[in-house]
Amino acid sequence: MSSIDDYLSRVKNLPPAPRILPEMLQLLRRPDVDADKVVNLIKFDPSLTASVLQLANSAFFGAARPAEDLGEAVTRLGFQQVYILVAAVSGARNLAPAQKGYGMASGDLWRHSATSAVAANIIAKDLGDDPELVFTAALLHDIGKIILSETLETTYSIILQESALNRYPLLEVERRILNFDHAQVGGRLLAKWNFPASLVAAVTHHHAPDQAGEHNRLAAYAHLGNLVAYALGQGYGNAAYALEPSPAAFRILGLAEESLSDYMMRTFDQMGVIEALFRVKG
Amino acid sequence: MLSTSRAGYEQRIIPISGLLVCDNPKVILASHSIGMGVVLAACDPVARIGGLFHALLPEAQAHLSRAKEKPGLFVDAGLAALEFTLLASGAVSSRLLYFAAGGAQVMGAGGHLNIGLRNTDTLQQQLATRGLQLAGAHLGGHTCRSFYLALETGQASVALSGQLKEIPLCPPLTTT
Repeated sequence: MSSIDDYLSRVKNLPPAPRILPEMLQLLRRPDVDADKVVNLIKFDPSLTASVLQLANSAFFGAARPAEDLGEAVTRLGFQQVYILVAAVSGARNLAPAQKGYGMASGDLWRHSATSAVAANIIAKDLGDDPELVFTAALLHDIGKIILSETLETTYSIILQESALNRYPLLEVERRILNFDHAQVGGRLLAKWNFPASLVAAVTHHHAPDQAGEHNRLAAYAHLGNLVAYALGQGYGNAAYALEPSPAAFRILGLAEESLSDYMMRTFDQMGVIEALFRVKG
Repeated sequence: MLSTSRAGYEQRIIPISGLLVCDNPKVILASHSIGMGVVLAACDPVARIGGLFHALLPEAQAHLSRAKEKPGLFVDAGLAALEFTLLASGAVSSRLLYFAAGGAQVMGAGGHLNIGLRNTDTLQQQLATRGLQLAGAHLGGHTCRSFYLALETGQASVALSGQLKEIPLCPPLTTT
């Protein structure tokens, strides 16, 4: 772990922490959610407030009469839906820019992440798990890539060559060349930002959910969300598909592998929502 | 380069699940973000009619209502719809040239998880059943692709993610 911390301390431009997410998740876990507290958390950030209102009033979320303020949006959409919007807007700030190291154009990582989050959210609702926590884990699963991208910009051709020559997954090549991978970096970043241990573990182990201990279900959701996004063409970058799906993720959640195509279709049905989220700038 | 805009030519982008047939020779059909899904395109270079669909899954059987609305989502339903629409628009079956791209494969996955391989297998089977052959294809691998088809010349190409250079799927055809 020390090499990752060392690396993180040397990265000049660490992204801003989406601190609001762990705080909101904590609020939502309480039996009586206090609407004022939720509104106060969001309105502290004016551009976030504007984006959430814009989304709440968009064709996909809005009612006939637009919500004029956050309180109204919360009342109309409910805490859970507002959380999804806040998470999406906060995530967009970090995930939307191009990540040249990975060969990702502007918006690629954001689309992939949002698609993963919507897919995982659909599965979590089916299986009765916390859909907001699952959405967050899947949304942030590749956050480590925005850090590694700076390094990979110069070493990516070596990584690609090694992957093609030896048929190694990109994750493994990252480990061979950098001594750590984007999942570990993402987990450390979330820990630095004081995210709950469950999200740290899910992001760290999203490629191998069976190694996430007590948080293996959350990691399995992040894994499956990731897989659905790739299957829907929301992979990105050079050699994007040099990855290994984990059959353990299906076992952990008690899902048949055949269910992948059904979840692909149901996520595809929500692509309009994903596009609406994408159009809003954080 | 089919991917760059040229004066007098219009690029029509067909999204995932989309299916389009067009008889305007000044159109270049294009589809992006081709990962595990496959794009199948066909053109009649004499009539200068062509079409394309971008499928995500091999078979429509388990998703019949979606297939009715969007046949292009599925390899089998897409192929039937593309062929029908092309012929109804004046293309001649014996002149049709078929091109395919996509079917990226994840590593070490078998059965239901290797959707890229299932898509390309189904495509080959469906083409074989109809006695059709691909004039050009770029299938498999681990990379996202974009596909282009110029209706005027029947020239098709792919561009791999992160690479500017296009890979031609066949030489340009001379038409009279």
